[in-house]
Amino acid sequence: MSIEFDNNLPIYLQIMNFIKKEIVTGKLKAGDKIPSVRELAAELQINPNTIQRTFQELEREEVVETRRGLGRYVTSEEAKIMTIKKEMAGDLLDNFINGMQELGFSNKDIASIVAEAVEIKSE
Amino acid sequence: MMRLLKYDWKKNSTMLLSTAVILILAEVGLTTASYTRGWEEGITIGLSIMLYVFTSMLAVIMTYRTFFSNAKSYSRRLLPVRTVWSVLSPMVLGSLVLIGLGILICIHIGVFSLIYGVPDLKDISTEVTSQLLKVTAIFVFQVFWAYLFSYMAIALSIAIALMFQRGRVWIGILSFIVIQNVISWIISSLFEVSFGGIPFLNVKLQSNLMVGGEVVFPDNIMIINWGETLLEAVFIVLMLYATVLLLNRRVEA
Amino acid sequence: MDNLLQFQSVSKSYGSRKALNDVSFSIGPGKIIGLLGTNGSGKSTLMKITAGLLPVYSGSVTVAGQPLDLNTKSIVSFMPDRPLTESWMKVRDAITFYSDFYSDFDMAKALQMLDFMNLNPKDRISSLSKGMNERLQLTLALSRNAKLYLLDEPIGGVDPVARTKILDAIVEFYSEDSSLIISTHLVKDIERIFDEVIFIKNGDLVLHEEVEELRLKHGKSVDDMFKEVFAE
Repeated sequence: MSIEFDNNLPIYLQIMNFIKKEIVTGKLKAGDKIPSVRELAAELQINPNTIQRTFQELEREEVVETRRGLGRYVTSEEAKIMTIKKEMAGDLLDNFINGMQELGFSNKDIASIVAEAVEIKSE
Repeated sequence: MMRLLKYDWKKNSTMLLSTAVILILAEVGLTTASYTRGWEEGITIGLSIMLYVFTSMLAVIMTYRTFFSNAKSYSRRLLPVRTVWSVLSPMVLGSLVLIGLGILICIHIGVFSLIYGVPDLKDISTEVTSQLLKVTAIFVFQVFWAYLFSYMAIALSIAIALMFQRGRVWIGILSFIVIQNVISWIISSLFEVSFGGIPFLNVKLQSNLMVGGEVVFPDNIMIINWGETLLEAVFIVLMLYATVLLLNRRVEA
Repeated sequence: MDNLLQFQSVSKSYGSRKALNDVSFSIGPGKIIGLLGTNGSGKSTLMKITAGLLPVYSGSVTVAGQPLDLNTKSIVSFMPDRPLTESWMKVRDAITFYSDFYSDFDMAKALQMLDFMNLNPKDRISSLSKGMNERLQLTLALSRNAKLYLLDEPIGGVDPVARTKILDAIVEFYSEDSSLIISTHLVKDIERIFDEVIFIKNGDLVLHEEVEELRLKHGKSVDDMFKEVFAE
């Protein structure tokens, strides 16, 4: 696991996003075990408290769950994972649409440009 | 303090052991050469003594330097040990070295006597023998006492010098001179000084060994002036106390 | 629990030069603190006072609620900018030295760390390169189960490989009961390890913040903040 960190933004948020991405893309499957705070801290060379905070937030969002005595695991609820995927897509879309609107594109234009771009990309 | 002593020893062990080996070889060589070539005993004894004195000076200086480097070293100063022990440790090492040297000397005297024959002590009166032993004992005590005193004076001078960042060498030398002079002035004002005003020779030597052309040994050739010794002891303790105080109040790093 | 380290209005001068000026802060357990500043800003002085090397200062300093004395020396592990070893020593002599004098020394930890750092106990210290020496100094300091670790410039002047090893060691040996204070002027490489940072500029404490808060509030990295604060 190697992440490029941006020191200008809170690290714990970046790790959270990274883990969510791993889950959403299937690299971390539902019910998979997550490395411990220590393991992750050592691997990424990051303050253990930061990792701790990451996990706490992920737990709060019910993305991961702690099984007492066993460790931390990705949520086993597929529905939850879908929600996260949609949330992350939602963030991307928000940013994209805002950006396009700032450039002056109308909503209809945006939709067709997107359809076109996707087609080109799949060739 | 035993732990401190252990590491003071380890630090100096190669130097001490190699010096000991060289000393022993030199003395053996000297004694052998003088015997086989028939040198005068006096010369041999003189040279041998010079060698021992020289070696003891080296050893003693080693203890001063050990104290100095320990006083500066962070790794020593960070240790959770009381300052007084770090002041005393090199001095104890020095004393042990001097004892070792003393043992070597005794062995040498033994060997020497075997080679050259012991003057028949039975011929000389037992009084002389006991006097001889007393004088030797006092002499040995004197050597130790002088070492203790000088060590403390130097330790205090170093502690004073370390209060400053610059000119430490000069301040140290100056402090030492001042301390020596002040103390010896105090002592000589209070006590009759024998041996031409040399301080720290707290013994009285009886003159009048010759009575009517015959050598007469009085009851006590040399006696320790206990009053003076006590005062010197007080000064030694005071210097120790002052050294510890100054080292604990280091202003500079 | 008492604050692990507390400075209250501490000032320290060397003659006319003021190294620390009315510095106050406190640190709790389980934290890794970055003590940042340019050379000569007062960071070393702060650490030396805490370690008990500089007994003369004004203000008050307590470690785990106790004033500075032999006891606090037993619970504070300091890695200064000078070697903690003597030139006659081999690596194993340095280890036994530490083990002899510090009751919280963990021999198993030490041996493990020597291995981790690729240090051979039989090596003469005088034959070690600078990088290897740094690793040894760090090993000695971190092999104690102290309450407060003070590392003065552990990664300065050290090759990137050794640097990574050192940062690894620091993260590995972290514990919730103790705290580490790391002073450095090389912020970028190490800012991800810090919980909080303290900026000391010309003897004054100009900033003390949680690192993630700093990033959140200012949108800047600690490195950028550092450059801003310490710009000439």
